[in-house]
Amino acid sequence: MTRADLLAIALCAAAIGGAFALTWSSQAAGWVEIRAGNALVGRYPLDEDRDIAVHGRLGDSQLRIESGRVRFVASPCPNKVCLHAGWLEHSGDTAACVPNGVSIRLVGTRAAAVDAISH
Amino acid sequence: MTLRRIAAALLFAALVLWLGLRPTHRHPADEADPLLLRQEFLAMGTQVSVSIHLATPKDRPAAAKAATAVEAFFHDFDRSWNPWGDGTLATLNQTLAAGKSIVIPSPMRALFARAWQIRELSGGRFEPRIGTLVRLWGFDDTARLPTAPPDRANIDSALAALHAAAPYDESDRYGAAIGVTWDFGAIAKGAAVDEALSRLRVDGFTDAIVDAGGNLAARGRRGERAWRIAIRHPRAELGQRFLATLDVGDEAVNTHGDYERYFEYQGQRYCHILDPETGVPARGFESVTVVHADATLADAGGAALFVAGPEHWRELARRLGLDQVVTVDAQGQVTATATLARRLQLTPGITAKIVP
Repeated sequence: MTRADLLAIALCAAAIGGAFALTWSSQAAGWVEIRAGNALVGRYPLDEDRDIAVHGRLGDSQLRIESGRVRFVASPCPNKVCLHAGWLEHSGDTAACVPNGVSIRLVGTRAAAVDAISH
Repeated sequence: MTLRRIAAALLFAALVLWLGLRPTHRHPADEADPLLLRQEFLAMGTQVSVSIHLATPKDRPAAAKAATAVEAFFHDFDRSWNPWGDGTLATLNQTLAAGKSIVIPSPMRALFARAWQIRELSGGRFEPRIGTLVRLWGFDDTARLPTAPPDRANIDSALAALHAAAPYDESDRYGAAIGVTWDFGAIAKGAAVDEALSRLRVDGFTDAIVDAGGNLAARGRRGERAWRIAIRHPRAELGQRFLATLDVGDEAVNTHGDYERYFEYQGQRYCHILDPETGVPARGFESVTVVHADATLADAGGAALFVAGPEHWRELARRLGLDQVVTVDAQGQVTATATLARRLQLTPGITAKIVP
């Protein structure tokens, strides 16, 4: 094996490794779209953990983005159906706090996409 | 020679990088799909979405107009069929409460009759006159949930009124029947979804999904592929979000579950689906999903199966003509009819018992 062979192998290995690293990091984990009173009020990437307060009719709905997922964590509504919706991670999945007029929908996530969820 | 090898290696490296970095063709994000229009709004106490697959991007303004018309329809339908408040059904219920008989307006007669037919077929497991009990439990208020069950004596008197009331003869009159409140809560969303899809078809949109809080139906396809629907796992917080997915044609997928509208009292879960026989929330199932061409039947029939429970649902499903059903019982056992099992893609790790 010549030095050129080694160089070629090293280049190939680096290219393959680099391609994988770049592919995974550049492929966003998706976004959550947030609506309040039927208007789109925010769109956040799911690959950055954060807490979001969304102002609705009754007060602030608290959302949490964590590890590529999102859920309602607190809500001023009396029935807490939005909290029962749990963690969302698939494109097409939705949850809503109807009393507060706040809803979320996931788009472009890594987890398998569906057009609608029967629940 | 060496140069040529390095050049070849660089070319190869470039090829690998290009392969790795080119845009992937996974399902594109909705907003990136020029042929999908999606409109969302809150109506009938839930999140409603209308998705339309367009033949060409030029159809988008017309589709948006059609979806907006569907939204207006949902608000009108909600007001007309709300058992309480100031709409038509609420007024009829007030008349009944005053001890008088009612005249059912002709546009409403078809759904009264349909609901009654399903009630009869289901042996009363689906009961459209259950409004008094629903209100007694506090499940009529979409904004709040009760914290404790009502007094047994009050449940018994509501049941007694229901049992004493005359059956509906599918005419334009009903009553007098004091203590009876018509409540189409377990059929109205299915009926609204069916009607919304018919309206979209009239407007020329034959590829669509209308989803009223997970109570959904599809028509046509999403372009090259079928519409793909997931069924939520009733205990999603413990692991898998979805029980299964399936591709649908002109069909409704309707799930009744104990996991969204419920309260807990002394360690016991009380879900919003009441058993009209006992006057208390049905037990035995975490969820029941029905797939059927008719969204109205899928909705009311699914409620009846949920009430029937793990022992009796299969026989009742045959009587109702529902052959595509998947249930999750209180022990987490998943059971599917053979006809539905053939097309369900269960989430890895989930196994289903198959029944004929």
